[in-house]
Amino acid sequence: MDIERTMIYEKPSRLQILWRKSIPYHFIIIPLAFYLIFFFIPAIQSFYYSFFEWDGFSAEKLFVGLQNYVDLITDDKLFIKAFTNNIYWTIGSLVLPLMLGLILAVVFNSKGLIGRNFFRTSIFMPYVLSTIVVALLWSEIYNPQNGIINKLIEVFTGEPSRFAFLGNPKTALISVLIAATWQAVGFYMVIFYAGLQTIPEELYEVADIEGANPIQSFYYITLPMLREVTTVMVVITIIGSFKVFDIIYTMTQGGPIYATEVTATRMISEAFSHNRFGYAAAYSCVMFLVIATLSFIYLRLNRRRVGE
Amino acid sequence: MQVNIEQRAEAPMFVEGNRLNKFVKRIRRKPVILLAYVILIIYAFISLYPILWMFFMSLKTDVEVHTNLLGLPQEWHWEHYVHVLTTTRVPRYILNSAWISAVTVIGILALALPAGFAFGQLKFKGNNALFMLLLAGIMIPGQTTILPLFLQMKRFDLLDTPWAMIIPYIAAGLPFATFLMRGFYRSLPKELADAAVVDGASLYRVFWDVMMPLTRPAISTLIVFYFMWTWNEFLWAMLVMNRDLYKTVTVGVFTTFQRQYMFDWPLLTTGLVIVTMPIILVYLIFQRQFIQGLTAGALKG
Repeated sequence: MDIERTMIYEKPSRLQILWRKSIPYHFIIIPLAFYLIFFFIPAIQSFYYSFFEWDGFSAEKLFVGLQNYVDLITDDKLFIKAFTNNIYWTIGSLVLPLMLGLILAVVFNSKGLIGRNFFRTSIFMPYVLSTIVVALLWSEIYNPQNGIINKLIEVFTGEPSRFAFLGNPKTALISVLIAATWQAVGFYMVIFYAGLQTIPEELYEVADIEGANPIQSFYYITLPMLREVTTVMVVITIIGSFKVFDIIYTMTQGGPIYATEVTATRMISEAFSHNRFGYAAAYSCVMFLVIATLSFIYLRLNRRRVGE
Repeated sequence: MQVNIEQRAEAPMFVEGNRLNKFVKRIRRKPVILLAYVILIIYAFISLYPILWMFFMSLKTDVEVHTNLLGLPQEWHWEHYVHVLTTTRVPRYILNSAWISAVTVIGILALALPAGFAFGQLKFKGNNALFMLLLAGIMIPGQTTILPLFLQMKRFDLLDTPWAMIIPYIAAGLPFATFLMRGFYRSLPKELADAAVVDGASLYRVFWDVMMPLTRPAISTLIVFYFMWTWNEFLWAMLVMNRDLYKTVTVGVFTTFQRQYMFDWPLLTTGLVIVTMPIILVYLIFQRQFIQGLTAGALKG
């Protein structure tokens, strides 16, 4: 066998060697080029544009250095407002969908539960809807004239209720957050449930024998064992909260009186309504810095989890 | 034969009864499980009711919407469906979303599979560095690329064409898809490729004939995630597409119903149901793949 092979073996020419060495690159050249041209380079350009005062279409750009960033932080009340709302949204998302998802997952994990498929299918269902559908549906649910929530208040209190949940600056943001929560809980539940499945049954049995009640075994077994999944979910939630756009734009468009503005909605209106392209680029770069830092932390955690 | 069939028919009932007994026993032994049922039933109701409500609303008349807000419709009025399907562009939007999402998914697969294979299985100079470059894309939020990308599309004269959506979608989907596929290819034994090469097959054939059949589970995850992701994308589609003819579902539904029908509840909910129905049906049929795909993909954050 070996002898045969050496007999027909001819020394490859230099060109052949070069060709053979280049083969791995054939698999990556087009994907990389595509990614660089239509994703990576535009991201870099954002930083470049953020140093200019520019409307996005005229030929002249005025170089202003870091002025856009200085304005953003010292002079722009709406940016501060929007960024604060992002922080509120983050806290809200950590409390509502994440906690609710965790609780439901624990309940869903109860031993001997029948009908898991039904519960999973139902609770996950809102997550497959488009955010736009969720937004329009919940705008109806909150409707002051004829919405479900006002109707329920009427039924329970016996008094007519016409509260505009999305029209009141005090309640608008939390109302949108509740709609977003309704959509996302199933996702959190499924992920936490997957995490719960990795906890060995024996731990609970031992706790049971030792006389621990369910709350104690949740606190001393479930929570510590879920720490990795929880960390990942917390980071994902925070990243998602700083990117949030669709549901806010479609439900309130940042109003009433800027009550629900977030960084992304401000950026879009600076760029496309006020034609302050360079300034909007500065917005997007601030978002980049926040999210990239968080993503970096996340990838680090993720890598440790995968065990690379 | 006769006996056999009867036995078969009886078997499930027996199991059913057994299950019920077990169920009752369990509740007696551990009353906590009752609480679990109460919580899950309440939350399942909260999840499902708005969706069902949307469906009920679409079947009510304008009068009934006000007299009977919460319950089932007294008579099922399907005419709103006819109205929305014939007088609005909603069917067209669905079609647009379907083919734009399909092309995007095919594009992502066509680029991410070979790249994932090369990064995960082959040794070459710069493997790690180039992969890191790609990985940086996961950390860059889409919003950072929007403004320059918009100018780029304008320069290439692609605004208001479907390509202004498809091309950036593919580029934005690539980093994470490649990351996932690389991980998958790394989990496959290296000997497979080595053996095939020794036998005289070229790397292309290894990729296509040896690796491809093994990657099927990962591919279905990618398909579900990226199809849904493209289907639901809103911000970019809204910016680059002003021609009604090529609008996707999200933007089309938003502009149509936000402006014209916001106060015509039956019509609005009808539109929402029409847009949602295909997704929910596919979800109910392919639940497992769907949940897997959506959760695996969404972990990219």
